Amino acid sequence: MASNALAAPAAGQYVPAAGGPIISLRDVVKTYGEGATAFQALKGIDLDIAQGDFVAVMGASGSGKSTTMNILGCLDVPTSGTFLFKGVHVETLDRDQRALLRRKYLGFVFQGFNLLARTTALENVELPLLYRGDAKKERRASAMAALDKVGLADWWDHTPAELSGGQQQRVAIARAIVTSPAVLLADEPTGNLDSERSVEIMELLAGLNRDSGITVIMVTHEPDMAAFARTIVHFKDGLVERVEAQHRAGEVPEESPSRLREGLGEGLSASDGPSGQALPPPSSGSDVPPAHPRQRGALSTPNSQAGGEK
Amino acid sequence: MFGTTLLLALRSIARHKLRSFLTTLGIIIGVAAVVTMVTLGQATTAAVQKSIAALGTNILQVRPGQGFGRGGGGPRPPDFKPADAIAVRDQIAGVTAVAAQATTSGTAIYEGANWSTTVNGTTNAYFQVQPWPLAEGRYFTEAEEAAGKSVCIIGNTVNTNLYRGASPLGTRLRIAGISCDVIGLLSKRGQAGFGGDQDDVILMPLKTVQRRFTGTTDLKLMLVGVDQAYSSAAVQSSIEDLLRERRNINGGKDDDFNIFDTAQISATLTQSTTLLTGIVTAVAAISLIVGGIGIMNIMLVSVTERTREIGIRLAIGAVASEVLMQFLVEAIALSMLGGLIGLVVAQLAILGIAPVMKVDFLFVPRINLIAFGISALIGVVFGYFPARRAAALNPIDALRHE
Repeated sequence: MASNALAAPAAGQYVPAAGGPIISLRDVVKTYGEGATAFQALKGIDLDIAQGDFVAVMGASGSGKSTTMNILGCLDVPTSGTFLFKGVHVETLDRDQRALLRRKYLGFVFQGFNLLARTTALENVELPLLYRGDAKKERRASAMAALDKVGLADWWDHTPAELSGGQQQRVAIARAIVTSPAVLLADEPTGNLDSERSVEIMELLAGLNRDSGITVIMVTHEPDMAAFARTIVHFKDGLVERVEAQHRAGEVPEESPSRLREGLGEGLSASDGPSGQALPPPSSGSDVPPAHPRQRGALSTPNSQAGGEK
Repeated sequence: MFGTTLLLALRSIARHKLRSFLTTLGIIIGVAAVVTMVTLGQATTAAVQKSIAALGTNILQVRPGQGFGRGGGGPRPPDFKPADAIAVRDQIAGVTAVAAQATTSGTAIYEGANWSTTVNGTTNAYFQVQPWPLAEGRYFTEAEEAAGKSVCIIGNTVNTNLYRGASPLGTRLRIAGISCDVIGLLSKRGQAGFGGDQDDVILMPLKTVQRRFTGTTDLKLMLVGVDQAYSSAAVQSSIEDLLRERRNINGGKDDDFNIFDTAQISATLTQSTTLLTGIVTAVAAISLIVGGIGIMNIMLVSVTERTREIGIRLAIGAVASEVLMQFLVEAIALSMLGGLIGLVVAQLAILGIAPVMKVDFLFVPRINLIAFGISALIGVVFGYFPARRAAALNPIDALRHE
């Protein structure tokens, strides 16, 4: 189940993949508060996300994208409407059932990294496995494999304070993927990073999506980052304004920077200078000292893993 | 799942050593205080009981007059007669022996050394009533008692002061002008429960003291041994009835003598030291509760401080009960750790204080176990509230918490 399972959506119109949507929202309404002070954050969202898709969620603050992400992340439930996740009505699940669903199928990446302080990278990555009840040996092995995938295997015993922002975010991504989740939810994963680091992270996410078939849903404000996605969902005033397909299914972003720039041009009509520099050649985008060549390798040759783990 | 929870809790404790120490400080102090107080209380009780036992258990001391220090006006009540002692011995069931005693005091002199001491005239029945082994020498013979020979058995303190600890046997010392042969040395007994030095004494046959010192056959004290099988209270009341009759005390008149029961005194003193121990322990127990509240406070602060961490755990799929267990186990582990340290501190404190209080070091397994158990219980009780609060956090709010 790699990227070839995805049908290329027609321009401007979202068409679910052949395998059927992994996530399906129907008339989802979310209201905060009651009575006169009630605030309707979502006013009836319909959205399908195909298995294996890479979705960027965009919109001004207050547009309902965060609320939608919370619902998609099974952290919150809709006030009304249905949320199908792999055919399961999430809105009917209780708190603990949703926790178990998150444990099994979801991975989270946050803007603020949200790693446990004073805890080594390895232990941070192990955390979801601890809750899953894996034995110590498997835990170690899986966590090291995940760290290796994000190119930080040599940094396993460093605490967040000893890692750069980009490295911390990569540890967070390792933590999110260590359980081999079906869906990875990223809430502005590059919001706290400079543009070089941002591109690295995006390449990492794109590679995971392409090679491991993980469905990635990402909130972002930056069109540069959204350009890595295959589908962009625009939110406005509690509704999905439009779903935009990027014609990039099966393509490798690193190999076609020109296409990326093209995509950027559409989204960023009045962009200033730096946007062009925001996408340097991938191999130069490492914030890791040369002492750790393996990371660089992991980032610059994702194609070697093409075909996916599954 | 429990192994995981324990691991997470221990990791968290290890990662925040200072906070963990401060959290447990209250429990450490509480457990140490309770264990120290109870143990020292028990050691004191044991010491009191030991010194009362030295007076002799199951002994009734019968004296003329009303109690201690109740002089008042009027004529002095008469002393007992030798016939009284014989009557008590022969007529009352449960009396094993009666040691009549006449007492005087004087200065003993030996080769230039002199020492002011008490002279007790008594019979061999004295050693029957309250066993007092000799360090060396022998007791009185019947012939010596009957004839009122000038022989004496001296106490350890007298020996120390007159003979510098050398053996006194076969020597002759002078007391208040008369000389006597030393035939025995009493073993050391130590302080009495009421401060008197029991070893500062010279024992002579009753008749000798009566003839050479007091000049009468009157008795100032009768020590009555009570058979273990009999209730000392019943024997006491029989003696009281007999003596009232013999001393012609009729109707509602008060006794003009008193009977002092060492077993009763022992019980009373034990009761009061136990009560004191109880009070001090209660105060210490309060500090244990304060320690528990300390744990709760810091755990609550810790829950607030770690809101994001809890959010992360919830987001990656921890169910509420796992978060609850983690914080609960953390609280319990902390308070048990505090309990253990408290026990060690208590033993050190007891080792330090016991010599100052002149009691023996004591290890009471029961109180150590109880205090440790309570510390674990405190972890459960005071850890539950913060843990529940952590588990109830909404993951979205928790993740957004700064």
